[in-house]
Amino acid sequence: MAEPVLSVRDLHMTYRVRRSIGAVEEVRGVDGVSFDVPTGTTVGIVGESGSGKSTIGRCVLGLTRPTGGEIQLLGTRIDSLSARQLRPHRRHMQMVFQMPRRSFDPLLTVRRSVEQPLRRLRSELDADARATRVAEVLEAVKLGDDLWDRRPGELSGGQLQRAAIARALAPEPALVFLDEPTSALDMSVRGEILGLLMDLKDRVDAAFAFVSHDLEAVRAVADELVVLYLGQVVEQGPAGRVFADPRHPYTQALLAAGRFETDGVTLGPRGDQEPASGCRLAPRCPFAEPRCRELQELRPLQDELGLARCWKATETVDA
Amino acid sequence: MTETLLSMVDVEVSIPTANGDVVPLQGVDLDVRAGETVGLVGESGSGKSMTLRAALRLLPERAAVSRGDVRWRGRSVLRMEAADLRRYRGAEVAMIFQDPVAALNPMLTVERQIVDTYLANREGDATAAREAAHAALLGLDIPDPAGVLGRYPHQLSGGMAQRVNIAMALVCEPDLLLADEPTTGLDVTTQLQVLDLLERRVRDEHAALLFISHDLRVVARLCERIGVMYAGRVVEFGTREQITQDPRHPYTRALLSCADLAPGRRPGFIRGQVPSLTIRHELCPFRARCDHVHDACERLPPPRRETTDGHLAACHLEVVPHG
Amino acid sequence: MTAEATPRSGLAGNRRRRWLRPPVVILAVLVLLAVIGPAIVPHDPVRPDPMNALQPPSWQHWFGTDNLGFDVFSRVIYATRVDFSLALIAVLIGGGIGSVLGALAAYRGGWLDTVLLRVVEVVQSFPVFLFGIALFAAFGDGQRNLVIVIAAVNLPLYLRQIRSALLPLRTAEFVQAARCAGLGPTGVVVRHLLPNARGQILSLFALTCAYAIQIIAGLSFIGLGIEPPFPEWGSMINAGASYIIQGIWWPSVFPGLAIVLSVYALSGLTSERLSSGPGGAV
Repeated sequence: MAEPVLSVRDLHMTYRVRRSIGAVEEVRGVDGVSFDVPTGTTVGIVGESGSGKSTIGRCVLGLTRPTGGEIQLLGTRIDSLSARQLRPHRRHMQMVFQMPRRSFDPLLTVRRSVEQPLRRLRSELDADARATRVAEVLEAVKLGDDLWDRRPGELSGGQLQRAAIARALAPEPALVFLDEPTSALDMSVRGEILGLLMDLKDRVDAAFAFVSHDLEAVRAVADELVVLYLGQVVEQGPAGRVFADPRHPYTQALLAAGRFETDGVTLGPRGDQEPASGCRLAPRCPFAEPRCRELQELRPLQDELGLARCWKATETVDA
Repeated sequence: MTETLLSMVDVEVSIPTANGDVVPLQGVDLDVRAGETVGLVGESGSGKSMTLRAALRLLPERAAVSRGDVRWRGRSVLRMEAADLRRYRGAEVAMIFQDPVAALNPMLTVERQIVDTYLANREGDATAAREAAHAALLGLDIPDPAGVLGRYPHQLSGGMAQRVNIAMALVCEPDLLLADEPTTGLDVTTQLQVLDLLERRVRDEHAALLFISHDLRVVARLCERIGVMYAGRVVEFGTREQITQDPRHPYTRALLSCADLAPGRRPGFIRGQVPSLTIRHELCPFRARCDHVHDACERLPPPRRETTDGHLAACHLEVVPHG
Repeated sequence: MTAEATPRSGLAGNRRRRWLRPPVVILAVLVLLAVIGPAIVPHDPVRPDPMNALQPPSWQHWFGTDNLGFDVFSRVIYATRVDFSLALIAVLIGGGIGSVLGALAAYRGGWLDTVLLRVVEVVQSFPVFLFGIALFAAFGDGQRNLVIVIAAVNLPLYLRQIRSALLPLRTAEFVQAARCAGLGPTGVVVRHLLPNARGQILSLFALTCAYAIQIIAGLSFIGLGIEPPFPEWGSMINAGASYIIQGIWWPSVFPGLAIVLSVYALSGLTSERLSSGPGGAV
């Protein structure tokens, strides 16, 4: 089996936060996250605020340095590379950001912005080759050519996000990381971008990592699902299976909330601090028992259907 | 017949700028009756936030109501004197905002803020205020009210902060609560709880609710009557059932299909983009994006059709064809 | 989380009107005088004529003559070039270095940022004039040291301003996108950060030039900087100061007016309208 495009192992990101004078707390924003993005697949990374999903993206793209763990891109370890050493690897991974308007320099035309990754990362291309490639990707995202020489201020959010996707695809990367690409867009436009991604999946060689808090959006495009809670992977598996038969209480609650089901699994309110030991969901989990707070009990279930970080998942958990 | 509390009649708000006027509201008609829940759905550029602001006469600098009227219990809000306006805002109408932590004063404890609001709008001393604050938090299912009362806004989670905002708004026993997308910034798992809480508290207090959101599903869940806004006006208005099951405006129908991301189906979207609010639209503002547009739409402004059961739609079509 | 509706293009409409405001017109005239003035002055600004000393304004001498018989008008015009060019050079040097350092501090953060800020704080705690006097006492007089003093005053100012203008942009997604596109820190700063702060940089430039002119005049007034008989507004005011009490106002007042006009013109450039749109408003 071919090696995965992206391989993340035991990723850690710990922040030191000053709670009060003399008391510094270590917050584990990302705590031992591992997952793969195989070639040609789309992995959906789902989580709410505080799950660490955005941090993971920044670590993978080399925008932030993780405090621990390994990140391998196409078999090469990139987490401990300096900025200069990382540059030749950047052509293999690109990112689409949450706020399309903030991800474009307001002074540059769309064409110029989409061309930018080519100038540094595909320096073997001359100006004509770059121009051809820019036109190619802008057409692939169906952005009208009357907009190519405009500035971001003249485009709508949906149009800009298309341009952002074009920019990410321009250097022909092996991995495209999308950080909540539809969250800042109107509902009437969301479908446009999701439809575009569904089309591109089949036409483009790249693998995609789609981060979102919107489960329904992820469902449209993801093959594999990774569910995060407070920096840990709580469930993992093929997207179809996870949606049909979620095994971790958090996934169940997330699905129920997304469908506006009040009779589904519901969680208690969020507390202030992470529990010191045991399952992080325990303070809110409707199925929690005293055992859940003890570390030894936390043996994640891992089988052919995927991973579920709940000892109770070995039993059938009824919603 | 229940009393009409808030009534907005053909409200137009315009903001003069160097390049001409921006007209965020282009003739909004709306009414909220005592004790009912009304929802306003709209995307960016629809004018829904501005509608709430106009209701409270809290318009941005240089913006003004250039046409129409806002009435509270029959009296014009726009012509109210300062003292009446103060009483109107807070004691009769209260508002909660989208970013719960930002809506709170970062320098004061939760208790202090609720107490201040109480004392500003109700008869009673500090002791009564503190008791009311405590009771308010209890009523919102907060397990440790005393603890929360002593905290500062930055120490609260989003869901908790929004509960505090709801407490603050309801402690003055307003007749109408305005809510500007209060759950949009919250986690999905928290949203539903806060929505249910809001619904319950509003019902207990016999207050009316005007709730705006970009998410049709949320509004459909919470509100008995729903208005759909587009380009600064209300294009359809009806009961929850009428809007979700028998929409009479192509935009509403399109929105419904966008909100429903059924697996296996291609996600619905509306081509084109929202029209600019720098011009006053005489004809239907949706015609550029409408799948059912025809000649009449290019010649005449859409009529406001109203059925006998109060279902209103501003469209030339009597019935919107499926698909 | 809603998106914005399609915005209008960022440029404001009535640019023509903006460029005809009084400060702009006055500045244009002053710059013109600075450039061609010395070539068209009616009298030699450094040729004394003791017979005609202290003559009031007349058709021959529009601004009168001073105590050494110099034509005040010609000297005021000539000094325009002196004051403006010195101010400009000094601000460009100090501001240029300060801007680059400020941009680096904003972008890199860390120890570089902390060290630079501390140094700037120390330097800025010295009153400008004392600083100037100390420098002159140590290194002597003259135009070169004057430029150094003003450059040294402007460096920390620009460093701080540019740094705070660029700091919020550091986390902006388009900066991250540029990094993903392979740009290094210099590239990010030069191509993305500085251009997007150009409105603020330009206003700062106008204001610091005004300030620089005041410093030049002030230092020359107390005898440092430009020495008479070289024409300079500050030293001219000083030369004529003792005569005011006798009713001979013209040798001091006209250079004074020139200073006022220059500072007004430069400061007046910075208003809301001058730099709107992408690049930063004032």
